[in-house]
Amino acid sequence: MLAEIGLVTIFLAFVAAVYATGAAVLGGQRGSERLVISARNAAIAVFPLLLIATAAMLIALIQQQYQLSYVAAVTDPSTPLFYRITALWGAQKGSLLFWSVLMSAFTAAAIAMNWRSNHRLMPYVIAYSSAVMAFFIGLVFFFEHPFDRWWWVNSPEGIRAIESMFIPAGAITPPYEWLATEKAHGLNPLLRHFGMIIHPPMLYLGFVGFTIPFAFAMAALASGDLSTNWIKATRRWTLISWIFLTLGLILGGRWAYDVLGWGGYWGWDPVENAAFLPWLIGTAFLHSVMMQEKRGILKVWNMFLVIGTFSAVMFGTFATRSGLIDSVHAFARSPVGMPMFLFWAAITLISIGLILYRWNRGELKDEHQYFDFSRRGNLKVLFSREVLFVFNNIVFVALFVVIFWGSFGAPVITELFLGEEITLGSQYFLQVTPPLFAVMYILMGIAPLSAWGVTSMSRLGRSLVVPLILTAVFMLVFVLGGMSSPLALFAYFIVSLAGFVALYEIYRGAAARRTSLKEDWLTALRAVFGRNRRRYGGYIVHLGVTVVGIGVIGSTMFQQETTRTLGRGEVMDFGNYSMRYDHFTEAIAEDGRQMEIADVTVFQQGQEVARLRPRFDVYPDMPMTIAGAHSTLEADYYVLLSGWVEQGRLATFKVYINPLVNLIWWGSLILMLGTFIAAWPAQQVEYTPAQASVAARRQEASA
Amino acid sequence: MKMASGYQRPASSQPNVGTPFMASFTCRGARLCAHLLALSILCVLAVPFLMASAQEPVTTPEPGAVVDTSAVSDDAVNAVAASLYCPVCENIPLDVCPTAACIQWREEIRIQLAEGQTEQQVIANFVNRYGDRVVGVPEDPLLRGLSLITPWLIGAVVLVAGVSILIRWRRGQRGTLATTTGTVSALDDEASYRARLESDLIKRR
Repeated sequence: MLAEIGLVTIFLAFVAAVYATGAAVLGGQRGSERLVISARNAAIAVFPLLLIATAAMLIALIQQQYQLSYVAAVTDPSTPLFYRITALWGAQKGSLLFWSVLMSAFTAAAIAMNWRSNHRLMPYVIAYSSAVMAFFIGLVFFFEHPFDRWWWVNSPEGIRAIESMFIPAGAITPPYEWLATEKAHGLNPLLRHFGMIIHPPMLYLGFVGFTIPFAFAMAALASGDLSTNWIKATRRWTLISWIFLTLGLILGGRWAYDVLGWGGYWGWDPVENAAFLPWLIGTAFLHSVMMQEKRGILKVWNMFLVIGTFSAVMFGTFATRSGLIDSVHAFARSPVGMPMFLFWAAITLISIGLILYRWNRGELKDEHQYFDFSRRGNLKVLFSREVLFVFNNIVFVALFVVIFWGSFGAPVITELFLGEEITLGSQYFLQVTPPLFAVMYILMGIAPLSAWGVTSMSRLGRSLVVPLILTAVFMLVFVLGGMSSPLALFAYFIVSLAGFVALYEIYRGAAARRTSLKEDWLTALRAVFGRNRRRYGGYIVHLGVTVVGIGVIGSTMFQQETTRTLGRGEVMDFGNYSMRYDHFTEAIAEDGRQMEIADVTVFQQGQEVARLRPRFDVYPDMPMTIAGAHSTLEADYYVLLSGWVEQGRLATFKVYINPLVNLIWWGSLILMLGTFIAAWPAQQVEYTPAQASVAARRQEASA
Repeated sequence: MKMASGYQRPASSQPNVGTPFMASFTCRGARLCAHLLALSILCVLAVPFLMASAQEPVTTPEPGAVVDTSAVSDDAVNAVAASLYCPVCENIPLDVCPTAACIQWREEIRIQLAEGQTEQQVIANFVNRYGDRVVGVPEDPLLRGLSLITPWLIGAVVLVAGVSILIRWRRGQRGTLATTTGTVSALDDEASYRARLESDLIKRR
């Protein structure tokens, strides 16, 4: 019954999305309000329909209905309830359904919330968002059926089990015991981790969220309403999507650190990079969109960025789900490979075509110049905030290009045209990305101090004095702490300067209020954040990125590792730590995995600081190395059990000391906090008529 | 018709009459940049060839010879394995790959190091056997050049295209602004003419 409910609702959702697309386009072209309203209702109806389908799948997972082949593929009788729920996104078919329902939720919310305020754009917003929904629901319905079932059919060779969406002629339902023993596989062990449970939904929310800014941008191009309306309507949607994508990336890194057992959090793997690419372009867009809002410039560029972000989302989805990463030839064999490739190519080409059409008609001209070299004091223009933002965008796009090339461009091209498989690994990425990240941090340090229009060198220099002094003091601490690497000191210098500039700007804002309004520090801080959440939230984001940067430099440049084999009771010295190997235990967990556990004690300066239990889990198909880590703000002492002999008489440990690695997680929390502040809706102030006229005059004056 | 004064430069400061200052600068700068770019590409392309020719010949052990590997530490093996990728897995560095095959390959590295081969020779052995997919950046000069230079070339091309679009856009903008200002000036002229006319008419009355 659940399968029938799922199938019918997915089909109806597909029909509704296709209808919404067609009706919205027709309604927009003919100016028919009735058609547009009908399209809106159909687009919104997709969400409850897919919610019913998703609920049907969740019930099947919870009740362990193994006749559904997806349930059998991702759970088994020993799977705990929590993992049975999260198995919804544990494999391709379920995750595509989950992806579709999230997208329909975003679309319904965006349409409902902008229906009145952006009525002119609505027909095309509905059309584009529904078209994207229709594509993904179509993938679920036609290619990756989550509601396929196992059937027994009679054949000349005897009873045969087949997987089919509909009941084959003369088929019977296989007995539950047979399904539970023969077909139920259980969730991929790598996904049984808190980070991995939250990581995919966060990434999906980030990915599908970018559909909304894309749909608004395309609606602006299609309708000809190329004012800043689409930017204003999508600003918060973009930030929300960016928050989710950032959180997804951070959780992915934490999962890799805890589960993959290689002592790191970012391996420059194509799958990781596929999620990082839209983040880079999305971050560039978040910065450049301010230029269009405040100065009416970079209209074409913003269009390219928003379309580029969505295109990167589509490409990443295609690359990771089609098998392109395994081999350039694998995606053709994947059922979703070719449809995804064609959709990605079509949507990118149509978008670029629309931009060029409007550009050619002169409808995307900027309202101001920002590169006026004909004026005196050209250097002042060079240090204006506009120009620094343009440089910031160039850096993000350059990062996108080099990472895309290393992850997909070079491997695909060499395999396709030279017949040679190559891997561009961390050696490549650590050669090409650090200079670009360095420029990014330098710009982060300068841009907040520059003004719109022109900024003189002397003014910029004066603003930099205090942050520079603070940075110098901070560097002194590093030098006195024994750091002598010029490269590391340079890296710490530019990164911490960006952080001190952010802190100094917050201080300046609060200090100005204290002086003029005689407020106490707390009130002044609350007021500066309350009155300009976006700006000061942005500074908190910069601060978070600084802390992350310090952690990345420390854990990348100063990571130490060693591999030692110890007998029971033997002690090894490594860095400032000693480690004693105490016991070895073999056990079987509730879910059936075999666990080999080593007990070790960690000492620092003779004092016991931690007892760790690194272990080696053996699932039927896969071994996993789970680290034991002693975490402090200064460093992680990270131990892996990499081998043993004779019931643990001798055990081999791989030990890493990862300095400052925890700053990455703390910095990420600061970054998230800043983004929430920036995205939080501004207070609606109710004015008396007299106050309203004063506010209006002020607004006119500032415009 | 009055032109917008903000967009005119004094004649003395114009290096080339009829050519906008920035455009001539950009043309000269672009040529210089193009030459520098070509020179740097040649240099970078030449490096792998020089490195390849400078490599020592790879030695192979005599068949059946027993090598004492006890002197080679795990750390020495992992230092080499960290530069290699598992030949059959997807993007997993050899030093952290947990499969039985990878453990065997790490033992091969140990043996080769015990035989006295250098890190570069061990890596070259693996590349000879499994191809360039076992290293993070290809050893083959052509593939190495292609991998490392192409993104910068793409970036340079995009930058040049961006700058040229910017310059064209600026010219267009100037033209538009000049035309707009001209129209405004014309309208201003007409308005002042009308005002004068009205005042003359009042005086006559």
